[in-house]
Amino acid sequence: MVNLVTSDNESFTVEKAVASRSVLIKNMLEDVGESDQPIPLPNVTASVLKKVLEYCDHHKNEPMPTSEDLAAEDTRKRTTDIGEWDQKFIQVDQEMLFEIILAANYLDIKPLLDVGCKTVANMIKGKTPEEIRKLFNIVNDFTPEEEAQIKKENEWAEDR
Amino acid sequence: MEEYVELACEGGSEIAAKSPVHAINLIPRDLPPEILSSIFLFVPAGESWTFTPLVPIRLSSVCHYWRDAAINTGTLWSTITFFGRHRFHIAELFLSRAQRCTLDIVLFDGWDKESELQMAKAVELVLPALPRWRALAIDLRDLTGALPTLALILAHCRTEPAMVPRLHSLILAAVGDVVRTDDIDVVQTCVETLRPASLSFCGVLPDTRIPYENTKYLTLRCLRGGAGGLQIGRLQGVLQSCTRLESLTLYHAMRETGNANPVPLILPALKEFFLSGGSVTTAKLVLTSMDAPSLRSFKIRFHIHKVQNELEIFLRRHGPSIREFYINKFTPHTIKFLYAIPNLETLGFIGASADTSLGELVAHLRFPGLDVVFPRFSVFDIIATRLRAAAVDSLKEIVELAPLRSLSVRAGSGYATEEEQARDRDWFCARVEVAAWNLCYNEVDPRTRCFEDSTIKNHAYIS
Repeated sequence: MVNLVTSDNESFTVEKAVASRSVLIKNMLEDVGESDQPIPLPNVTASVLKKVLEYCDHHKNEPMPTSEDLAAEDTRKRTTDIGEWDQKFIQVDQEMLFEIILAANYLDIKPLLDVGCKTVANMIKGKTPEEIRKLFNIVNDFTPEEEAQIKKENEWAEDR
Repeated sequence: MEEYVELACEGGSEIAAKSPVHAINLIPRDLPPEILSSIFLFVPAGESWTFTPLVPIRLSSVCHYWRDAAINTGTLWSTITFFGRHRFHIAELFLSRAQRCTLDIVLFDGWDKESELQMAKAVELVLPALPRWRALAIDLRDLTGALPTLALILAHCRTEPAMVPRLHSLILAAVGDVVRTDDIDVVQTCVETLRPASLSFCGVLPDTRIPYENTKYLTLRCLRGGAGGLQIGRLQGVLQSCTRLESLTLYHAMRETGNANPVPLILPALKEFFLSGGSVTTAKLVLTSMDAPSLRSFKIRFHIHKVQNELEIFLRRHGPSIREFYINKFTPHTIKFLYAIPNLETLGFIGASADTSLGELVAHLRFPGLDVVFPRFSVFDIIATRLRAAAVDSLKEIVELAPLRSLSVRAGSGYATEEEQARDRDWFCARVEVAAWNLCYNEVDPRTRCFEDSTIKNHAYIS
């Protein structure tokens, strides 16, 4: 079993197979060897780690992506398909969604990072910049000159 | 999972009440740029003829932070297309933002014939980046523009051999017999020089003089019937020279002249074969003459009853190596084909309506009626234009009768109210890993059919 300690000082004891879905933790365990020492995760809160561990537990028996898999990944033919379990798992509020993405990035759990990124990509799909701003509460901070350039680029691309 | 968290987490019941220490009210503009890049690359923008430049443009129009992240994601801008009124502005913008990324060049005249792309001007813009070309799709519908363009690319390669790109994919698209015998020399030299691993002919005949020995992936789409149409001997010649072929797609390959001459078609490296529509004679010939000992994936979408015997011969020969088999019709007869595939892992339906087929499969699973073991496929994949409630009922029975590991359902439209569909999805999720549940799925972008001609459109499509 592995003991993980979150930024808000919560402690989680989990199976090694579950914790090792994180390449960061897996490498730490390999470096340290057998040890009872808790592993601090200063960038992850308990509520987020709980969700991340739920994902890791569900996928613990699946093969880890190899470096060849990652190298062969064609960034131009990426699919936004998400498995049904993963879709349900990632049905969380926006704040938690982005926290999970950040945690997956920090813990180096590529499949979870992809699920998070695909979910955001699906939210963006087909939306105009204004709709995207509204969706994520983003302020339009372009200067009038930049606005003019952006308007021109959009006109070029829209005129099929 | 809930259980072990409860057991292992000290003060587990208090977790929900505690606030995260950092990043309250996080919004996507606070995500690191590399994660934003990753999200951007997942937003679908199409490829080749269907690529939409509007997607990257919109992503770069949200705020400063997103714009910087988008502009620094070179791959987002790496498909260079030339259709639309402002084609050169857009192409220049994308070229400048693609940075040092490899490029997919689409020399395409647009969806209608009024756009009249000045192909020579277009190619001049992208030629300086020639060593970075990863894919080239060229519209050959107007040969007066296209052939000099190909010649220009070749001249560049000849004068500066260091400029020759490591081209992965070459797509040649036209309609019918527009490429005359004399013109094929240019195409031939183009393939010889660029040596693409993947070669696609869309609406235009391949020629036996084109060197295929480096081709690993060959796609022949919408080859037309009528005068100048596909000669069966030529197709045989082409396939016989593809000695390193790993993947073959014959999509709507029509036949005009020539008879089937049963010359063995030995493809030692072929792993995937998809046969969809087209001429019955061509299909019969390929099915009976092909010998592909490494074949793992076979998909057929055809008038099965017209090639039943040939399909049986094909499966008897290749059954032991096949792991993935898709068909567009399950009938009492075609279901028996499955007994020839003892190592089947993935069974798929790929067709218009799945209702009757799935019903037949249920009937067979209930009463196999044969004293042999039915292959125990663990993955079931449905790709259907239409899915009705009856098909979903049959699918539920299949899930209960066959021990599946994974199920995928992709259909062009829904079959019931959203609530009912969600209930069904939950029913499946409770019993099997549902890898995909997509009820607005388009298998092929219909716009790509602009390369088909009327003789193909009038031809019976596959049910």
